[in-house]
Order: sequence, then structure tokens, then C-alpha cells
Amino acid sequence: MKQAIYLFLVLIISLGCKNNEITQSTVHFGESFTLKANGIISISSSETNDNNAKIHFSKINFDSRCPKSMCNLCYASTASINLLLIHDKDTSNIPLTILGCLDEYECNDELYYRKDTLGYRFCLLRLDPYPYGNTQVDPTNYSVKLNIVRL
Amino acid sequence: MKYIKYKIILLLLTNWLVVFAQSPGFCGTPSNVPNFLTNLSSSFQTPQSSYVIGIYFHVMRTSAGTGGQTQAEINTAFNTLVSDYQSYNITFQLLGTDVISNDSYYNQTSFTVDANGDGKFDNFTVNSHSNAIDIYLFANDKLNFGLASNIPGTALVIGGSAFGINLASSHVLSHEVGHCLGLFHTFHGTWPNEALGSCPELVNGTNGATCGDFVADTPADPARIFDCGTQSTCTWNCSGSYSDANGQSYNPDTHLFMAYTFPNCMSYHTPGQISRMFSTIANSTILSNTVISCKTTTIANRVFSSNTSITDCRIEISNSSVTNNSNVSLYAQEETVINGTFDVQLGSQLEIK
Repeated sequence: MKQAIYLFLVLIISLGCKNNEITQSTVHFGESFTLKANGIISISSSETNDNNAKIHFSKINFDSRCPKSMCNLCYASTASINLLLIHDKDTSNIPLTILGCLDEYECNDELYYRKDTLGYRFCLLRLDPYPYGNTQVDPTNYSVKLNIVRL
Repeated sequence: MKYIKYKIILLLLTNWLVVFAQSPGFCGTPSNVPNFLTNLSSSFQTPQSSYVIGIYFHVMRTSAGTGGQTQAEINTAFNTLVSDYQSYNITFQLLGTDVISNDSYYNQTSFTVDANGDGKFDNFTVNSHSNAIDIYLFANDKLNFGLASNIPGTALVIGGSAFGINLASSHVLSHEVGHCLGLFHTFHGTWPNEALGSCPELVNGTNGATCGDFVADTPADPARIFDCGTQSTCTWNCSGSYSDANGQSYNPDTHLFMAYTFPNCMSYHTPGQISRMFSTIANSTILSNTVISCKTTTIANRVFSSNTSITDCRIEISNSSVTNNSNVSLYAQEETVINGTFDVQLGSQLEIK
């Protein structure tokens, strides 16, 4: 009986730990938001409620940011992700880059790695978790902070 | 059942130990770099007025001998480094260049910074030299960063690109050498993740010598140039957006080698940074080992009929000439002395630096 209870508990815990990657909600253009790996979010204009655009955080291309413990000796280093912009029936691949050794960026005209394309400005502001030491981050554990505006 | 319980406890303990062992600071990687100079007391050595530092270039290529920086890029790297430091009376003498043809090294991306005090990376010492700064030039599509082994240190790796610039042949090489010679980032202590071992520097400069980068004449820097600076003009565009503990707005210098600024904007060290480098060289055993003592090259009655470059601490030349459309470059750390006559024929060139 006790064994059955243990097994039941282990099953519940493991189910609880499993990532529920697909999140579905809506944000407005110009608002910063966080999206988990493989998550999808609808994005709309606050005036028109046009929510045809969806953003899918589809992939981490690479993460070679210098570990934080080495950042006082490091210059540059980058990570790259892929977003899918889904608008009506069109899907566009949007690769975005972020520099290492800084936690978070501002989305403005001067952000070096912003991407202005297809009538939108995409800013990757933050990528978590930040790598520590030489340990690789499980790709399903990433989340991004984004800001997307209509140009 | 008891056995299962113990197994679960053991498993949890093992996981905790693995997580603890992988946390920064446990496995020998220093979580911060102490201010080397504050640890010196009465033993402080007065610096010389000039230094010649030995360097080795290590060019990383595949096992097949392909890839990596070209000879032209390697030459640019050396010339950029020499040019960036020569006005400060720090000269670099290239003691040698080797090619490391090895796929494993060529693709290496993880480097453990110096924790054992020898100045080199703890997990990467291929072909290293105790009498020089080892500069590992990786391919322009590898790394995408520059990393020094320590502050002070005697090794660095650099490769890849950032901001559309090949890092290895850019001023970022001078940035990494700055770390080796004792310099911190200009935002050290301000950015929270770099606060260990320092404290935020105030814009009014009152704590500039003891906080931040420990150099009083570098302005406080919030490390925001990559999203608040313009690469083409090297201007700071966020006056009023970021302020220190006193509410004063940051106005960082976008031209300092040691800032997080665009490579094309890096152009100088401050007098305080130069002084700190000289003190570090004089007082660091690992750096003192890289110093080449001043020698004099003496040349008399020589006709230069082909392109020639001479580098030394002092150069004394007498009764010589340059012919045959040749270029002669004399790079002297301290001085060049010309006695008697030195003829340069029409079409030939003499350059003295």
C-alpha cells in the first residue's frame, strides 16, 4: 500500500514538473512580455484589437554568452533565438540576437541587435536563464523577454 | 521500504551536491577578481618609465590546417595592438607566432579562467609561455568574444565577430590586453553582476579610486552603451535616463578601451588607467616575467636595399642609407639615435616610430 502511495506521489510530482510550454494570451504592441520556450502569444494593437499576429518562441539557435562568473574578463559573447511571426496565414522566421554579460536591454532606436522587418520592430530584451559555469541550459527551460512595436 | 527511503535520500543528496559543485566559485573559477594593487603594502615596486612586453600569437586552425585568421588579419592585429599602446610607452615585442592545427582546440568555446595564479587559463595552456602574454587568435566565425585569463593575466582568447567587426584584429584585442595588464571594465562595481569585489562608482567621482574600476579619472559607467550609444558616431544618447545613487545622470566615455563600447569607438586609456597598468606590471610576478629588458640595436654603415623593420628598446644607427625603393621602419621603445649621415634615396622611405 505504502509503495503504491509513493509511486502515486512520484507520478504527481513528475507530472507537475513537466513544462507546460504552450501558453496562449494576448499582449499589445509596445508592451514588454515574457514567453517561454515553445510558447505562443497573440499580439494586438490597443486601439483596434487586431489580434491576427502571433509570436512563437520556436528555437534557441545557440547560447555562447560568457558565464557571469567570467564577465569581468569578457567582451561581447552572444546568444541567438528564433521567433516565428504568424500573421493571417503567413509565417516568417525572425532570428534575434542578444549580447552576453548584461542582464536586460532597452528597446529603443539605439539597441544594436533590434530587428526592424515586415513592418515591426523586434527587440530581444532578456534571455533566461543566464548560463552559469560550463553547464548547458536545457532548451525547454529558456524564456525570453520581448518588446514588439509596429513601425 | 527502508531501503527505498535511503535510496531517495541518497538521490536527493547527490543532486544537491551536483548543483552545489556546479555553482560558481566552487570549481576553482573565481567568482570575482580582487583588486590586485590593494593587496600590496610596503612591498610596492616603483614602475619603470616604459615597458616592452613579450607576446606570442597562436593561430587556431582545423586539423587539416584550414580556417582561422589570415596572415593579413594577424598583421593587422599586431599593428593595432602596438599602435594602441605605443603612445603610453608600452610596446609589445612579438616573440613568435605558431599555428595550432587541431579540431578540438579550433572548436573550443569553454575556458576556465586562471585560479592557480600562473596567469594562464586553467583548462587551456597549449603552447603557452611563462615569459610572454599568450594571445590565441580564433577564427572569425568562432567564439564571438574576447576573454582574458585574469586581472592581471598572461593569456587571452579572441575570435569571431561582433557589431560587424572581426574582433581578433580590432581594438577589442587591446581591451583584453588591458585586463591582462590590470584594468577592469569601466562599469565594474556598477552593474550588479560585477559588483563583487567593488562598489558602484558615483558620477561625481568622489569614490572613483576605491569603487568602480578603481581608477578615478574614468567616468562612472552604467554599461548601457550597446543600447544607448550610436556605433557610427560613438555618441551617448541616454543623458537623463540612467542615474547613480545620488540621482546624477551617467555620462560614460564611449571611447575608452575598457568600456563596453563598440570596437570602432575604442581609442584610448585615461592617464589613471595607464598609471594602473604600469603599477601592475611592476608588481605582478607573472607580468614581470613578460617584460623584456631594454636592449640597444646598433647599426653602422649599412645599405638597406629591401623592406626592413627593426624593433627594439633603443636603436642607434649611423652612416647608413635606404635604396632601391625600399621601406625601412624603425620602432624604438625609448629612442632612436641617428649619428653621422642617413641617406634616403628618392622613392625609398624611412619611418621612425
